[in-house]
Amino acid sequence: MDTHDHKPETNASGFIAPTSNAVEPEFELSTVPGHENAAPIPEEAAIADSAPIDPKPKKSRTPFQESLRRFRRDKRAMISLIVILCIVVIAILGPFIYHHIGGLYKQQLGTHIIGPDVYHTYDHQELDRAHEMPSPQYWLGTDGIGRDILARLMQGMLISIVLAVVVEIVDISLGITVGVLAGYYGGWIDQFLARLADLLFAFPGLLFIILVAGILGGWADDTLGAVPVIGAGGNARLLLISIVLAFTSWPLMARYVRGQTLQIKEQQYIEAARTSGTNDLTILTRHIVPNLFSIVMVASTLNIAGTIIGEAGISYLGLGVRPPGASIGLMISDASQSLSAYPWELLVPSLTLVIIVLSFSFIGDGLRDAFDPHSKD
Amino acid sequence: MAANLLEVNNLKTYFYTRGGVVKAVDDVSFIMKPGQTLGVVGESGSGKSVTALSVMRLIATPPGKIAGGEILFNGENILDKSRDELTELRGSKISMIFQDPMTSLNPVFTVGYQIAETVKRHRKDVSNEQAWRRAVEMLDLVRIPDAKRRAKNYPHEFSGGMRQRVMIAIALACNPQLLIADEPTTALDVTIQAQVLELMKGLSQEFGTAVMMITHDLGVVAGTCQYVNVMYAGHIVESAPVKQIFQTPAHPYTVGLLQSIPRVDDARGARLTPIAGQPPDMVNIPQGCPYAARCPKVQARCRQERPELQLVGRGDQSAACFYPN
Amino acid sequence: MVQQVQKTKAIGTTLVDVKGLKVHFPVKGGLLGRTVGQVKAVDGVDLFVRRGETLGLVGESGCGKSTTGRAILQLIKPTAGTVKLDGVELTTASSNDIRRKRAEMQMVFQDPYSSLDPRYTIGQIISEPLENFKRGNAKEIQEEVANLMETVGLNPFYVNRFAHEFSGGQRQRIGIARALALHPSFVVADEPVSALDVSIQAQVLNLLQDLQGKFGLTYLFVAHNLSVVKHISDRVAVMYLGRVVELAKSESLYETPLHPYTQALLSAIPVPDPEVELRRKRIILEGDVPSPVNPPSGCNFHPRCWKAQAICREVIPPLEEKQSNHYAACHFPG
Repeated sequence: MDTHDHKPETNASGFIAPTSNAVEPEFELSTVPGHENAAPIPEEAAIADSAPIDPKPKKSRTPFQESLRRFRRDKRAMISLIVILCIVVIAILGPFIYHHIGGLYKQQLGTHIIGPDVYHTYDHQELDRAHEMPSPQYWLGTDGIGRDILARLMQGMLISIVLAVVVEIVDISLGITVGVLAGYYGGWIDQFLARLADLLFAFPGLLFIILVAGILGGWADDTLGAVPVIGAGGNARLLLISIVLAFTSWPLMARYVRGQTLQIKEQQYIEAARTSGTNDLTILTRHIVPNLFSIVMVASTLNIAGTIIGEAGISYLGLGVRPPGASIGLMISDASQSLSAYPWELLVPSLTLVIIVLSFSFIGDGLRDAFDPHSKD
Repeated sequence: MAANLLEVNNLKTYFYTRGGVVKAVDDVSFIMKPGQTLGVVGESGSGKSVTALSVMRLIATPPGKIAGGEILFNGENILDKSRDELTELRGSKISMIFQDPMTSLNPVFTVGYQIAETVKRHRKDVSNEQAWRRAVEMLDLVRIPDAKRRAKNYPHEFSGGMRQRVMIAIALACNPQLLIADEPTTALDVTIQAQVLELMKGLSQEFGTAVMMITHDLGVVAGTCQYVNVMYAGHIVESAPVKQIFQTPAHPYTVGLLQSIPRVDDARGARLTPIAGQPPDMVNIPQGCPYAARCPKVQARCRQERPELQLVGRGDQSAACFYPN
Repeated sequence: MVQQVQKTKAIGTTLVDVKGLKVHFPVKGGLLGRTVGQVKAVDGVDLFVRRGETLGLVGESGCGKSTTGRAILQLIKPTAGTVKLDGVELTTASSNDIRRKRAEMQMVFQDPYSSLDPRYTIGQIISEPLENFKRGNAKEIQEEVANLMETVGLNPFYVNRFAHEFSGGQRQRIGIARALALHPSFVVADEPVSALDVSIQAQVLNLLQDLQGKFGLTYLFVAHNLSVVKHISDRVAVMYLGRVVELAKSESLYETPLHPYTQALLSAIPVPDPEVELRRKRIILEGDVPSPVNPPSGCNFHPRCWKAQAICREVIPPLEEKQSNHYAACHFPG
């Protein structure tokens, strides 16, 4: 506890100390041992009764907005958020641009002259150009059967994102509905949720997905393959996988929501609303669900990382996206067969996967820190 | 006159927050004599607990920092002590009990073990057996019935009042010279509060322990303390023997506090005289007397300069006010 | 605010009548989550509140005073007993009828922090009951909110601020404004000042008294602080372990308490006067309050009572009028 020599200056090694603690530290009350209540909170910048009316009152912020402000100050999370946004933009818009870059190319094996709109697609094979390193024509090189790695990577990222979005939509809507009802009313729905969650936690998720993929895979190829765009191009099983992933993940979300609902239910403002004659539906939708927002946001962000890894794992095992479709897991699987000779081909999708997963984890951590009431300043 | 046990001079404890610097304790000076019971009264945010934590050197850094002053315990400045010396001091010479006895006790150890540990930590020559005997003796002393058996129980097997008594047993196990009690009875019911206060009073007299009693309850102060510091917005605004605080309060804040609490021995219906307004924003304490904005006797001078604590001409009583009663 | 003319029924007639009120919570245990016991939080409470008066309900933590207040308002379903508000039985009413009845019975909560939804502005908080009961169009509700804020001493200018920007005392005023919005006749105030600083408590107590005079409110004032209860109440009911042990006019209860528990409770309150403290004789009760899962037989105070006889262990003393208007549940009162 040497408190006497805090100087916000350059330290001995010559680095400029990034906001020294003495200048602007967190005001964290709970660090005083056993002493939450005794800390010197000013009466929260109280608005005095007699205060003269400020002609232009500063915009008042909800605690939620305060949390967002804290989140925005979290450098790691903000960088991660920017990374994710870049990846989304690249995955969605990238291919359209990439299709117009690079001139005409005369095939060596055939005699066709093809443009970048052909050789920059994720499933075009140029068999005599296999295992190439990055070049002006193939920015990230080619894989074992001469497919453009960048094109495949963009497609893979798109798959990951679409999958994450689908899974989260199911996850959040089911999780909130069941969790809130279980937490608020208890009874059979609570029992049902508890048993279902137990069952799913006891049963290995991957095994479950393999089972479903094995049993329903053929059916999915036939029926879901007919769904345009998302079902086409070997992606039929992906749809199946995302449904299964969502099904295995929502009970966890529901449990979080249930726990939080139990806590909110005990808040006196819920009782106050009931005393004011507010009906249950309004209490649920206007008092409970809005206050769940932060926990749902944190939980789903962290869940996305798991979902993306899950899809990669399943595709790696050959149960997800099938060739000629592309996904990060599939790319890793393909590249791993020629790992010793061409490590580059493995590095690209693996690194992308790591970056995506880490970014989501960092965003989730940042959100949790920002919304956790204990770290409030 | 005996030497001072504790002498706090110009203590400043600040908290550096995003919103600005909170001067939780700002230029506070007071003394405690051996065996004396000192009450520190104030509302939340007045700095009374921070004063106590500063004496214990338990201010979390950051955000807190003791920005100035000195705390002399038996003539030695606590602020110059090393971490090891502090650990040695805490629990043996100075102990503290907190408001919430549940969070202060470790739930995974028996209460007997926790008392014995405290004894052993400070007395290397004590055997396990002796320490355990001391634990049982202490539990008996704080009137836990069937102490020998109860020493083997875990904290959750005790009620709130009993837990606070266990805390007192831990705090007094090493015969400290100073016991700091931070709102020790606030979480307890009235009848249990009476038990605990009675016990603390008896034990501190028996052991000759000086007690710093931090509370917001003027009734508790009246019943247990000899001397009182009234704190407001980080400053001591009045300091006097207990009788004078209640009979001839000098600072308008003390007067206001006494008038705003209902008394059980009062006739009913008399209207309370509340203190107007709110405590100041601690980040932005206005210039001058911190109480000026709420004071019924405020003059122009009060808004310009801050009054120092000075004798008001009634013996030992002093107040930080230009126009004391 | 519009004065409620229709509520000028005779002051002093009974507004709330509670008989044999019991609230038992099941204790789940065992492998299958079966009910293995009952927490007898409220175990046979009789009391009545007269129109326009304040009835104080005091007791230590766990005695069931807050549960009683909530059971009267039907926020907790009573296990047994009757509750009549203005002659209308509430315990058998349908949930829709009770929701309509809420306009007449309101509550002020203890915790000024958790009783206000952090996502709502002050205006939204106070207008919630008005909107539920369709008291006017948007503009009228807005005006009424401004009126209410002024009534409780808040500047209507802050209507769009959020609760966390206010201090404890101001938040409590917001809660009071919400409770008054529907012009109730009966208000349960559950420890309304115990979370506030001493200097702020008096402001809120005075406000509650002023509003009572202005709107002819009837209060059930639940608190553990006897000094506060004595200050604000006309009559006081003392609870111990789920039962009312004494019910009397404020003055006579404090001057001549009849039940030993009341006597001990009164002697334990610290008085802010060192002279008085020196002279006072304290009755220090032994032990702690027993668990409401297994309350003692007979008079449930007998294990701690210095007057206990054989009969106290066997027979539950009924709440009887021992002196005029002074009820006590004790075999050996005085």
